Amino acid sequence: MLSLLKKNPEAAGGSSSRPWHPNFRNVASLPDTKVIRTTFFINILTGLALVGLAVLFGTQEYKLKELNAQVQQLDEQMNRDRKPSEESVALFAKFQAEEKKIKEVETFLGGNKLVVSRFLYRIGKSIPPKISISTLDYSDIGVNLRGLVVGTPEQASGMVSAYEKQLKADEEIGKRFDTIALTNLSRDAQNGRLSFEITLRSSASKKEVKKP
Amino acid sequence: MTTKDLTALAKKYPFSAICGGISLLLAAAFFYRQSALPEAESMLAQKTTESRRLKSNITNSAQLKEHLAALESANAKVAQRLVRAGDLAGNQQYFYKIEAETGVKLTDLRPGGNPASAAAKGPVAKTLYTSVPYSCAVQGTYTQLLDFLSKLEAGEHFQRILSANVSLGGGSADDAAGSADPVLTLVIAVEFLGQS
Repeated sequence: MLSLLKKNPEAAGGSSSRPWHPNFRNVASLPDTKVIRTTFFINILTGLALVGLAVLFGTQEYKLKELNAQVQQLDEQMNRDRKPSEESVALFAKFQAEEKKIKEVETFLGGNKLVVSRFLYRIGKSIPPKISISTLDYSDIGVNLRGLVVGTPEQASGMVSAYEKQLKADEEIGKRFDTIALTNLSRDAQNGRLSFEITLRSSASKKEVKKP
Repeated sequence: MTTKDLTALAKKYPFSAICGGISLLLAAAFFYRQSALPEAESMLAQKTTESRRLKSNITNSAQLKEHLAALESANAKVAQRLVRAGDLAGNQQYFYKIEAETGVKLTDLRPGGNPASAAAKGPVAKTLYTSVPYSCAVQGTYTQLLDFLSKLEAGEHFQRILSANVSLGGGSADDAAGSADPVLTLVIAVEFLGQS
């Protein structure tokens, strides 16, 4: 009842005059009379903070332990695998050395090189009756065929042209060379024969020629 | 706040004081150990990569022994077919043997290639094998020359024909053209695969 009747000097609109008697109470020494004491809240808060930090620290340590266990497991695995792996690496080095030898042989033989005997055979089979080949010249840049044709100039030029087309259409020769062209056709005034020159070039030989 | 005040506060709230103290220790330990986690993760990643590399080495080499044996066997066969550059008599004998088998007439046989073409090729790269060049001229009928070339190309030694020239062998072109089976001349530059 006393508290209800007591005037609050700090309340808004309150009188600014001094209290009617001095307050001799020592608040610090008075017991806490609240329904839920302040100590309870402080204990709860510090307790919760402790639990939170313990969970955080525990989780971190658990993760670290897991990671370290995995690292250890990998270490054991690696110790088991290291020797066979080193053996494999050494074996592969030997394999590479042997492979290099084979590749060098392959390079020497030059995969797409012309088989001269086969080419000569095809040319021999392809020559028409009134045409004769006097020279066949094979080198890096390709093949030159020089020959003679028997017949009147009209017939002879037609036969050479037909022979050129025949070479282009040939299953082996036509596929092997990109360019087959009649590069020279001239008449021999003395015997009346027509001499001709056909050049056969492949793209591979062109590249070789372009090289400095 | 002085130490005295703190002591008084701790005495007033003993449970909270203990909790606070432990919390401080835990927080300190947490921050101290925090850097260990990324380090461990990094270490794990590194070890995982290394372990995978070792495993893949083992897995990929499952048939390596068999493949190596096959290659060694192939290279041993290659070695048997190599020409020795210094064995002049043996190398020339090879040509004479083909000459005898095919019936062609070997008119010229010289070791060594064309110096001009060799210079044009530039500096020779260091290789495991060497090339042993020969140039030769043979005379024979078309069939004989074909036989000679076939035996040379499919012969004991690895070779590559660098250039070949086939022309009518003797007499004038007109006479030869008229003949049923004229004598032809074949001039070739050939390189054999030899031992370094």
